[in-house]
Amino acid sequence: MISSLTGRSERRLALVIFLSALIPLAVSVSLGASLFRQASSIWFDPEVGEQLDRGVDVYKDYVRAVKDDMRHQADVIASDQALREAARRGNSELELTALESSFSAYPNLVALRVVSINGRTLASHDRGRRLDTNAEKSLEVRRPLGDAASSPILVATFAVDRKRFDELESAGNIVAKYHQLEASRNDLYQGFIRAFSVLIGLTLALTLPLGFVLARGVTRRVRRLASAIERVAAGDFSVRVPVTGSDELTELASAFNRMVDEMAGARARIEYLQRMGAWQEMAQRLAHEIKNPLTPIQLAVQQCHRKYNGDSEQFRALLDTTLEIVEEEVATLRRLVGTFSDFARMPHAEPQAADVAEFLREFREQFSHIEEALELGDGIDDVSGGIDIEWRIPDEVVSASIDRQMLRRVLVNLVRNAAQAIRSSPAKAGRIIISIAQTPTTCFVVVEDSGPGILESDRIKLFDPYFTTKSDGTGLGLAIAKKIVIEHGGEVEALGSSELGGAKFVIALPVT
Amino acid sequence: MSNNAKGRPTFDKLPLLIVAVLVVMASLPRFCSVPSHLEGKLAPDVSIDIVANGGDLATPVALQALRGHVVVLAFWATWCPPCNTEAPILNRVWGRFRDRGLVMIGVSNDDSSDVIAPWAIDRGVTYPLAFDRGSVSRAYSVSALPTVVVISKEGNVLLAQTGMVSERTLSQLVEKNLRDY
Ligand SMILES: Nc1ncnc2c1ncn2[C@@H]1O[C@H](COP(=O)(O)OP(=O)(O)O)[C@@H](O)[C@H]1O
Ligand SMILES: [Mg+2]
Repeated sequence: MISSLTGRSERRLALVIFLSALIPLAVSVSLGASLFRQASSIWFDPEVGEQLDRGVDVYKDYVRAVKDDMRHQADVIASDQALREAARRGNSELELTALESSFSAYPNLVALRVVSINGRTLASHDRGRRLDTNAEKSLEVRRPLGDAASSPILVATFAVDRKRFDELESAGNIVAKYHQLEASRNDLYQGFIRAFSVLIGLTLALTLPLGFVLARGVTRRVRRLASAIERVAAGDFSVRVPVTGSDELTELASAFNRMVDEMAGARARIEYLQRMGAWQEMAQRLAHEIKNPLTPIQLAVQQCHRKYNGDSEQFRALLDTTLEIVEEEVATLRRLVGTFSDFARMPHAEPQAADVAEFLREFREQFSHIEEALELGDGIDDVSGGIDIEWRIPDEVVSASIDRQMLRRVLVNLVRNAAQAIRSSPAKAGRIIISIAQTPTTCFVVVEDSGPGILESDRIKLFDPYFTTKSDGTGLGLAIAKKIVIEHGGEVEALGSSELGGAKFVIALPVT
Repeated sequence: MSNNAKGRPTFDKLPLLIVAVLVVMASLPRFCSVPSHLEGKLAPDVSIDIVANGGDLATPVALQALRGHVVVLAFWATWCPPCNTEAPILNRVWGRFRDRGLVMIGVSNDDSSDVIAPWAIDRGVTYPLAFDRGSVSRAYSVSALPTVVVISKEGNVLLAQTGMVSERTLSQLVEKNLRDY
């Protein structure tokens, strides 16, 4: 259910990114379009067109005038009586002189020719310089030299400075182009729109994958959380979400993990305390059942021993041994019963705010007395002989809620176990380190040793009541330690010591 | 000016375009985020940086290069209590099958690789441990820790499970795949 929601949110995020890219683009398209329309209405103003056209007309008039002038000059030359007479008579020599005489009056003339009706040149005269097509533009005017249809024809070639015409031509071209543009302005507009469509397409192509990539990073983490929350809601505390990135989601992820840790811890604690309760009840009953017959047994055997008056030396000796054995075993059973009922009647821890570092320093001071209580067996030996205890206590305050007396008991149990472990090792000597470490939320009291360490398979079982690997062990030391630590809202774990190679017991207490 | 109207239809198609895009987006398949989606598929090839207990594994090791072995990828982190609980289970399974061709790699999701080796000593963990900058987890859609992925000799994902794996499930699966040959 949750996961389908996040699928949608992924698309939503991508959409937001896309829209935030698209909206400015769309606005700029519409702005651009209106700007374009405005500019084109100024640029393609009909008045501008008319004025341009008028300018071109002026040029056209001028050209027409120039051409008319030349035609007129040709008319004048052709109407020369001497020329006409010579043409009528077909006298080419006379024609030539007539042509020569007209020439000087018209500076624009390049050549004059008299051509017969069938195209033969009868006479010709030119200015002596050829037409320069680069600089000059020529105009040819034909005029008949007589009224008869067979009269020869005067061909006058004029030249005009080309620059004038070129100017005209380019002006004409510009105006033509302007009109062309004006006619195609819709094409331009469409081109503009097309360009922007391409841009939008590109934006789509770029922002959509980008949006998805960005959104995916976020939604993947949200979805992780969602699926983990579903599991936790179903009572499964066995998953944690990976903590990645460095934003609100990261904090959310670690907050979630902390919450599940606490829930799982609380559940484990409750379960352990319930189990302990059952064990304690059993210990109580056991202690009671064992303790009651002990005194009658002892008394009976003592009486037997005292009341025998016979002279069988053998029987006397048997009675002596029996009494010895029974008294010894009864004493052991009494001790055991004492431990059991101690365990059964163990008070609840009542933690109070304190400085754990200071507590540990005090523990160190008392330790010489405690050492005697460590009951390492073989009473004659100096208990700590060959065992080097190192204390690593920080100077700063480590504040936590502790029940000093109970926590002392925990430490005694741990140190005793460590010392016993070292004693059981072939070297019989070694080191113990007692240290404090701290994180913002937790303080750790660590007891580690150079003993043989812990079997992986025993790691969890160690804390169960009555689990022991020692011939004279009760298996209660760690169970009691764990119960006390749990009543502190903490946790105790058995690990391997990387520094000393033996066992490492870590007590974690919440910092206050 | 009336000619302008001729140019507009292109512009008017924009909203249509947006709608089309939205439709496409809505119909895109969701990205699968649950590792179990991988089950039965070919395992994504990844490169893994081994940082502790490497033994004779090359580092970085390419998953592809482990074909012919049953591979267990166990995603974990030092700060993850269930992972710590799971570690002994993995360690035992590793101990039982390592000589028969099981490759087990604990893929750490920690922020730094420095915490991995001390953790191995603390926990008595002997199987190879790797540091992941995110690429391996991503390839296997790891959404929560611990996650266990079992890959067959042929390179197929047999199991991809989030949450602690039971020793029985894991050993049986490994055993079966080691025998099927
Ligand atoms: N420091 C240690 N090194 C090795 N093993 C230990 C250590 N502490 C405890 N153990 C193991 O845990 C078991 C249970 O300890 P405990 O509950 O104190 O009972 P007991 O000391 O009576 O055996 C011990 O028998 C021993 O096997
Ligand atoms: Mg003990």
